[in-house]
Amino acid sequence: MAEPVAGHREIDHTADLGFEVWAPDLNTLHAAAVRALAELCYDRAAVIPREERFISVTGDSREERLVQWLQEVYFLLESESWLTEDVATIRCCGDEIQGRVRGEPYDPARHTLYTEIKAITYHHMQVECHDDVWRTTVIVDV
Amino acid sequence: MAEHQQVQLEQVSEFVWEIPRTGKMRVPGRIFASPQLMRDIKRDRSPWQVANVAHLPGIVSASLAMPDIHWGYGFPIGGVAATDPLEGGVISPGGVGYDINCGVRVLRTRLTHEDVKDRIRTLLDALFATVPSGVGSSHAIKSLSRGEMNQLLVEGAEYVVKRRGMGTESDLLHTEEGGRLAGADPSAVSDRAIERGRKQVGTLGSGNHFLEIGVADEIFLPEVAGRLGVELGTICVLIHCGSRGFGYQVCDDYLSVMHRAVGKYGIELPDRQLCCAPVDSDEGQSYLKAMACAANYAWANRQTITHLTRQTFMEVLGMGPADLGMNLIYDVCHNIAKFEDHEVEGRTRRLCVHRKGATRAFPAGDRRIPESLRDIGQPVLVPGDMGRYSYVLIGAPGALTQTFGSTCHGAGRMMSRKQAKRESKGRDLLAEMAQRGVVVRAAGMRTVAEEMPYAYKDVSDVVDVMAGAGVSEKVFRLKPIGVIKG
Repeated sequence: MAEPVAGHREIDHTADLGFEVWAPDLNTLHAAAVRALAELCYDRAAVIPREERFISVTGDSREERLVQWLQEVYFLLESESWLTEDVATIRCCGDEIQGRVRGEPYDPARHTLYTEIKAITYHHMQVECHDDVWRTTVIVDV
Repeated sequence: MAEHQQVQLEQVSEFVWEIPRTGKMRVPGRIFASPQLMRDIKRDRSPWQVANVAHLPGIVSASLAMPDIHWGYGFPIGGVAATDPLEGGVISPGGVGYDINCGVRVLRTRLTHEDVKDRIRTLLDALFATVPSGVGSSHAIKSLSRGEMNQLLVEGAEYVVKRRGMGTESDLLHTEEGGRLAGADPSAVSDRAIERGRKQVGTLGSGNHFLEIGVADEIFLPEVAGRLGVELGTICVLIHCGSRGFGYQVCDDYLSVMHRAVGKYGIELPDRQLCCAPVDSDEGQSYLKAMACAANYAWANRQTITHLTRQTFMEVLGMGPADLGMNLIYDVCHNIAKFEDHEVEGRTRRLCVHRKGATRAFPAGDRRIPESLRDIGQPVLVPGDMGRYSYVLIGAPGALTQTFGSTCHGAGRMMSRKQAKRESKGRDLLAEMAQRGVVVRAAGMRTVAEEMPYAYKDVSDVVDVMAGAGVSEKVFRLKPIGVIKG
């Protein structure tokens, strides 16, 4: 079966957790990575996208920008107990990424949390494009 | 050394395998293991990481690994590396880990298994309600102001005991470094780290962190166990957690600083995750100040949980503190870098000892051990998986001659988290644990699935290697009867 144009899958890693993500362009890749991260941390399907948060990050490399971007999404969960469901808008331009994510505050009656993350790591992360498909691996320290 | 290259491993004694110096390795690698454990160790890339650590500027004697070694970020988990600042030695955040001063403490009680066996579910329910656990757990105590955070970061467990009245002087005496690492400076810490930390004091978090009630079911050194207040059937409490979001953020912040420092100081590394800076550089000094803050945060965290645990036991069992007798045996860190004097080739040198998933294990007579324990040696707490057992060890003389005073820290994973989750599909995990005589309360079932006993090596294999090598001795074993997982 052909792989969908953009997507993600969890990968095996002895001590930590990780996922592989792919997409036709960088904007979509960063959105898919947010969905993958959310699904590692909580039941994303139960999150109603009724609010938005603005995120802006800068970084010297594609990898640094992706790490920063995902860190900001996770920070919303840890600092505000706010769950991201998906990305509403995103623009990767130069050394900057700006976007809006959709979601809602954590409600213990409706949401199931899975795993706490210590950090998004650079391990095995290489944001690269081959045959018009952007791909990377993300390993999170848990 | 390239990642695909096979690492050469030579067995040099019954419990030690050596990776000979090749290429730009400054020292050999040395892994403590049994033949059986070595078979598992060779399956992941941790020996390659031991060889990589041997490239660090100023590393002394050898890049070491304990038998619970497995892959980690840059350094392997279970790695020990000592660097000499006078010879360009470096400090590396990857050699400490994200969870700075992740550690374990064990408390003994006057209770026996008989006293609690009918109350264990009530006790666990009460502890589960009192000690926040799970993703983003917070508000065990009121959120701290910036000023309070600054005090806590400098004073560590002392802040909790002396300013908040949660604990005793004896708790501090029985905590590594007295629960307060010198050199902490909150100005070296980012606002985001403060923000992540201020609500999380007194919380377990998730992953492999836990609060466990166990019963001493085997005593190996009765005299030493007796000195620690433990005999067969004694109920103990183990607390395993670290510096929460605060420490993770400090590590993250300084990995960026160190990535830049590597270029600035022209340090050649085989893996960018080993990024580091000379101990004496501005970057190195700043990290050490921030790391000490995180170490102190972790001690304050475990001390607060200790207080909440004591209160819960007293309330549920209707006892006073004297009857409960819940005294801290010891608190160790297993993710830290510390400056210690060690004798190397007949000369005493002040070294920066990185222990990442390794525990300090000083033998009897060492003046760095509290006076009350000096004649028996430093207690070492080695948790196993939540279904089998944990061990309390004591440092032995071989630790100072072979491992810079260090021993193992746990069982080590055998199965990936994803594989463990697959394995658990369709099974009633809580019922399986209950059949083993362990009541489990968990914030999330996914964590329980990831942390099931079959995902881990048998910790007894690990502690036996360190005993065989003369690094640490087994004092007693604890069988879990109640576990809280995040």
